[in-house]
Amino acid sequence: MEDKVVEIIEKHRKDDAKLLAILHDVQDKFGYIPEDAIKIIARELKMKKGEIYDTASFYSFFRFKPEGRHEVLVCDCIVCHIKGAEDIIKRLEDEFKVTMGETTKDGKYTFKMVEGLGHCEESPVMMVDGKLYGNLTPDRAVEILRRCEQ
Amino acid sequence: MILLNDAQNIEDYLENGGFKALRRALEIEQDEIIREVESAGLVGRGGAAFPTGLKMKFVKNEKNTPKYVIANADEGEPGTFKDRALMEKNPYQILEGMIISAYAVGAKKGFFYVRYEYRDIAENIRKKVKELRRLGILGENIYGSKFSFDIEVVLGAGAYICGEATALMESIEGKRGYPRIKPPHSTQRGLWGKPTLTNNVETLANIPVIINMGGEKYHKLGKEGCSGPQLFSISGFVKKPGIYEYILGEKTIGEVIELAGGVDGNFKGVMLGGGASGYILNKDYLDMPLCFSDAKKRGVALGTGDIIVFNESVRIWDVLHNIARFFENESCGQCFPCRYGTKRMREIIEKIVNGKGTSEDIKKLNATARAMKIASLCPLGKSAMTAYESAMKNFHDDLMEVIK
Amino acid sequence: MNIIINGEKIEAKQGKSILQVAKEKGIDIPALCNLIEEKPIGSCGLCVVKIKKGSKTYYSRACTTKIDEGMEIETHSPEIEDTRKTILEMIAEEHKEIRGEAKELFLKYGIELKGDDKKAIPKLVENPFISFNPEACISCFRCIQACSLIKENHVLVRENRGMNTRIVAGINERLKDAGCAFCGACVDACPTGALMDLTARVEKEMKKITSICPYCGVGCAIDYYVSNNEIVYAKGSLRGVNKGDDCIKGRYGWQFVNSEERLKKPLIKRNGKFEEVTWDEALDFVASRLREIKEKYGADSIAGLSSAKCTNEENYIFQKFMRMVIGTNNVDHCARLCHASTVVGLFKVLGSGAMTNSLNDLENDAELYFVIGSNTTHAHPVIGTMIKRAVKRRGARLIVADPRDIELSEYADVHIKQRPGTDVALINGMMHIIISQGLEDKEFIENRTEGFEKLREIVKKYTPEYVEKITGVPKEEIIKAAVLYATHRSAIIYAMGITQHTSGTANVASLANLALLTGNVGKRGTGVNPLRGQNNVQGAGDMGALPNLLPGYAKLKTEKARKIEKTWGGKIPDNEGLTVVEMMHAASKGMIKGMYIMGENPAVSDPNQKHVIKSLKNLEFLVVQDLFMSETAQLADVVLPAASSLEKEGTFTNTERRVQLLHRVVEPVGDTKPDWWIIQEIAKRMGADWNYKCPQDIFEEIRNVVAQYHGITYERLENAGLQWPCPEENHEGTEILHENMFPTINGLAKFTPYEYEAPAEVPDEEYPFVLTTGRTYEHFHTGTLTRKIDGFNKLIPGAFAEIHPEDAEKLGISDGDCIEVESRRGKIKVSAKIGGIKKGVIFIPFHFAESAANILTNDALDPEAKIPELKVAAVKLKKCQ
Ligand SMILES: Cc1cc2nc3c(=O)[nH]c(=O)nc-3n(C[C@H](O)[C@H](O)[C@H](O)COP(=O)(O)O)c2cc1C
Ligand code: SF4
Ligand code: SF4
Ligand code: SF4
Ligand code: FES
Ligand code: FES
Repeated sequence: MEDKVVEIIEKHRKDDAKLLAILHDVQDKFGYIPEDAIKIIARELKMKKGEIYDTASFYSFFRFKPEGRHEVLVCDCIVCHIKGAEDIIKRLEDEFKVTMGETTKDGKYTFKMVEGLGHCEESPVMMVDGKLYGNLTPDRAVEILRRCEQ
Repeated sequence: MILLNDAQNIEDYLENGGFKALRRALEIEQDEIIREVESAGLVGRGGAAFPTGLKMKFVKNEKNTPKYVIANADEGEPGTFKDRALMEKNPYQILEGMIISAYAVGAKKGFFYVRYEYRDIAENIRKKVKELRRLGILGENIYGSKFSFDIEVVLGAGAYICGEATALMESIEGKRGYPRIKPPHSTQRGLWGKPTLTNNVETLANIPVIINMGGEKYHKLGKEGCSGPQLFSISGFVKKPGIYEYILGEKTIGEVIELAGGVDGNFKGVMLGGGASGYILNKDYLDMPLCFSDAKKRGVALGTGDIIVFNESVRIWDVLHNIARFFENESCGQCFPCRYGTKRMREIIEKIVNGKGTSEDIKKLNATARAMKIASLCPLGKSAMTAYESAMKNFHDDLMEVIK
Repeated sequence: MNIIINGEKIEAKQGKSILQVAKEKGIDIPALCNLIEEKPIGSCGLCVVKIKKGSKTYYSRACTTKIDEGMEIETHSPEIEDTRKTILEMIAEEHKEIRGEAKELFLKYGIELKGDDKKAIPKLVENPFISFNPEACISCFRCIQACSLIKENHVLVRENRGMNTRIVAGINERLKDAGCAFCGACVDACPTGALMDLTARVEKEMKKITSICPYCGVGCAIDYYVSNNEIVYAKGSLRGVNKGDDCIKGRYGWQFVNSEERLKKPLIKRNGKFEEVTWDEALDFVASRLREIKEKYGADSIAGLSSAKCTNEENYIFQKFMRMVIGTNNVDHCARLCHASTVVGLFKVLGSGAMTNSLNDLENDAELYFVIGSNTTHAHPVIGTMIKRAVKRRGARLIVADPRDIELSEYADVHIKQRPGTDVALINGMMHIIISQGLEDKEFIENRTEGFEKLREIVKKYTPEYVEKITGVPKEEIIKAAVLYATHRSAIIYAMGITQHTSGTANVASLANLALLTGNVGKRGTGVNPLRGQNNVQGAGDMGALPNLLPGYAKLKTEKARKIEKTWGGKIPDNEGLTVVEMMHAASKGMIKGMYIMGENPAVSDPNQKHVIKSLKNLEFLVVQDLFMSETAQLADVVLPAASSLEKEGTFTNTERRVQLLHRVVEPVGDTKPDWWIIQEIAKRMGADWNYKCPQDIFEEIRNVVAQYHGITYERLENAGLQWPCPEENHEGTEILHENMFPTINGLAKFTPYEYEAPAEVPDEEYPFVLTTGRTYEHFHTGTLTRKIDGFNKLIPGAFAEIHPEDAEKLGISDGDCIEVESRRGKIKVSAKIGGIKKGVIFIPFHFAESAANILTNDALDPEAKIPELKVAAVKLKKCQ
């Protein structure tokens, strides 16, 4: 952990806007931001660990516990909402036996409801590991996830 | 088209006259560039419609250095996706506008702040920045001039409020995205306390256009009270949702909806200027030209230039509930009126949506709205009730029908 | 500036906020989140007002809006009051258990608290001193402002956002793990009672009594809140040098007062067991035994240890007792172990052994702090906070020289990690650089000093390369530090890391040389500033509890001594007495037969502990006066129960020479008596004609004898004390020494250069590590007080040895392992703590009798000051079997 985190910090040492960049890279590396990583960052950047947590915990995409292997972001913001996002959410929750915000039992998916993915021309939409799927129907949403299971 | 040209690689961009404006700009005085922008009448496309030239002048006139410029690509407003389309299709024009602005105000360093949801775009911009460095269009002595400038791409991490200029600065500085108390304004004391110019990416894409065509000529695009092209995000119940580029003032709301294929179903209303902080309007507004002054006359605003079309399936209380939840989730929580107010607003509307609303609840909503407007620290809290208030005006009977 | 508030024309100073101006005018604007007026955070929104300026009318926060010419302000218009009410209603819907200041606001607006959410409990509640009630917390961030902006601790932070924003410590940790200082600033800031001292409770009748903290030499004034002769809670007083600051010891350290373990009755040991006796019996017995020993072996067979924890009055009559009633100069106190070298070293160079400057000018005027051999944030926390604040708030520079990563090193421009015991080389090296770069203050040297040529001669060979070799510090850092120091208004701050060496006097003198060289003496924000360990180290010395000096530092057999004899009405013995360590040696050899120890615990605090215990056991008669059955008291023949400083009156003199008055906070527990009373009773029984009725009587005599105290009276001390020298009753006291003249014969300071000499014991093949000792933040000295307090023990339950990660790895030691540390004098077991210390060095705190660091330490002495080398010993370590 020590070496990996220090390596990430060194990569951003010269950046002016380092903290977010470091946190992103740490999260990419470990799947979440471990407490020990925060301590190392604090030491290296001469900050207090609490100051880093104060910043990091503000943002909705930073997480501090391990999550499922795939991240599914379902948009329920206004456009997606009026175009049926609720139905999709309900269907996914039934199908995968979770509520939004949770991880499936097998640790495969973590589902999150999000406020706007910026693809409203294709509403309703969801994003799986950064890839966008638009013009969803409940069936299609399930199908997409089942397909990527194989 | 002036903005939404397809120039995804540098060859295409250069072929279409890319970076001509920058080279020209480097040959003229900083003040002259600012004068052109001022005479063009360009105002910000990020929502607040502030005169861009004036902002540049403020930063330019500050003695304190170093100065910074920021390209705001946080695009968090629901129903708005034009910045994404622009960055995908025509990224160099934004960067060119950013470099020219930096030169005009005397900044050596810029930050390009992209929301987390557009991570792939951020990656792409990062690549383009490297490419421009290689070509001598960024970095030391751009095009052999004395001007040096570089850009750092910053990826957000999920917070609508970080689109607000000063919250964005806090975020770049590695802090939580709390909007700052103003004054001092960020043109005077922005990033790390230094003078900072913040512009929406679409605004920036207009700068090369103005330099190429001249401020006077640009100003003639459009009409009294608005000039230049603007990107409109059209979504909801229209047959061809997407981004449409029009000269401001040329088209009315109704015409634009028709150009987007017309309503899918029966028209009920639109949400204009932002899917959270915008206005909920009825058919009376369909003939309103899309122009800042016309909007102002009617007590509304173009905001981020989006139009969400509602058909008969849309229930207004449900929309308001969704918006309230959005604000509850996205309130930064720095100030009490907004932190507690957005929660209360969502709770009351939830009660109404569940058919249990009373006239007491409406009174309470109104009091909350007023308190939030008077005492919220930043525009998020102040505008959180805009949708409710405009809906109450334009769909009054509809809304009161379910109230006991 | 002219403004109008609620129709009334008001003139106010530019730069003030509307809230400040309104407050001054008695207009009551509710303000829940405002803590630091100059740094408003504008969170609660309750202070919002309506402003008309020119053609514009708008609403704005009174706390964040500066007044501006011509503003018309309305503070209580109907829509504003409605807004306030709505905000309060919204809070009330979420919370129910709000108390304190906020509660009053709800009452005023007639709003009932009715929230019923169960809120998650953050980990910070797991701590022994501070309670947290999440139902009451409104996330106003006042606690965070206090913790970060006032204290620079940055322990409390925010978690999440929006309605989920809540207060946590560190990464949602327990307070201690997050680095909490337990200063309680957050508690004082909290308007809702969400944060409270665990001991606090609501009492109908509560008295506030201000006295002086019983612990370190900073001498903070503490407000004690007392009900029914019991302390309920305490906090730093705004009236003291600490200006409202405090630390864990000042805030919670009073809890020993009611400890079960307090001694309550005099005890005499019979057949190896202590028996409770009456005061008369005990006092008669002590007097007769001392008389017997004196008659049989002579007065010089008796020695006394006075105490830096006792008042000036008590120290004064203790040494008077030893000198006049017993008839010996064998009197010393524990400052021998901490600052004897300061007194000697500074005396040689500057003509006075005291801290040259004051907290006030150091706080406001120093441009640079050179902190050497002082873990300030732990040992003198309030000064530590002051330095952190100066660095963060006004950009003061900081050089730290310490082999350990201490908290201050995080704030430092340069952190020098010198090998323990190489300070003279380091400082000579800095002087070499300063002279070779021409950065010395030539005018100051010319006009105010002598002996510069000799200094120049001696430091010549201390080139950066040479010094790097000795100290192990990269020469670039030494150069950077030297240049920074020489080019700023710089203050040297040091403590036991400098003094507790065989080269202690040389270290101190070298620091003073450095200050002279750059003219950093006699001005605000400069100087040579020793931080005194115990609360009355300065006073005990001033009072002459020293074997070679009389009250007021009068030398034996001089004119001054004769004058004192006149007041005392008798003859002071001529020959110098023995120092602490010498007493122990003499006792082991049977030359000292009887000892009288007041409030000290040499069995734990002194070096080479085994030897000390053997010596004490070798005595024919030992009487110990203490609050608790200390390790030393256990060896005594008679134990006399003393009242603590919270239970008596008198004066303490803090590290900056400030004489401060104690007020009795609670009545003495059990049958305990103030030390001065006990001494006088014994003296009377030995034939002395003493009749002091109260400490003030003694102080009046002190004023007569000690010139520096002449102008000080109890009445004058009521307000924040006075700094000596204070020669006349209309004299304001002296903030800064040596402004125009040094108290030497010719008024000049004297450069006194020293060569570097290696410590008495250097690591070798058999004992390859250097052991250095010191204190922790939570405990104090030998723990006699702090280890009686549960909370403190929970925070730091036992001894540990801090060790560099690579050293640990080589020895196969991991964090928390039991390790055995052995020196030529003994061995102890402690748990390992892997941390930021220099390679080859280990650190062990000395509070813990059961694994006493001083079993290991060396009692080799500084030749001039006779201070033992507690900071360097050669040791070896291994994992416990
Ligand atoms: C809550 C809030 C969110 C905002 N989000 C954005 C945004 O995502 N993108 C943007 O360009 N401006 C946003 N703004 C506006 C910015 O504060 C700022 O006015 C803008 O970046 C200035 O650029 P312009 O003058 O080019 O419009 C937001 C403002 C508020 C109050
Ligand atoms: S604990 Fe007290 S001071 Fe801190 S945020 Fe909560 S209410 Fe405010
Ligand atoms: S006690 Fe002091 S250090 Fe600890 S959290 Fe409170 S303010 Fe911060
Ligand atoms: S700094 Fe010293 S005097 Fe002040 S409260 Fe702490 S221990 Fe007591
Ligand atoms: S509302 Fe879901 S992508 Fe825009
Ligand atoms: S006191 Fe001004 S906002 Fe709280």
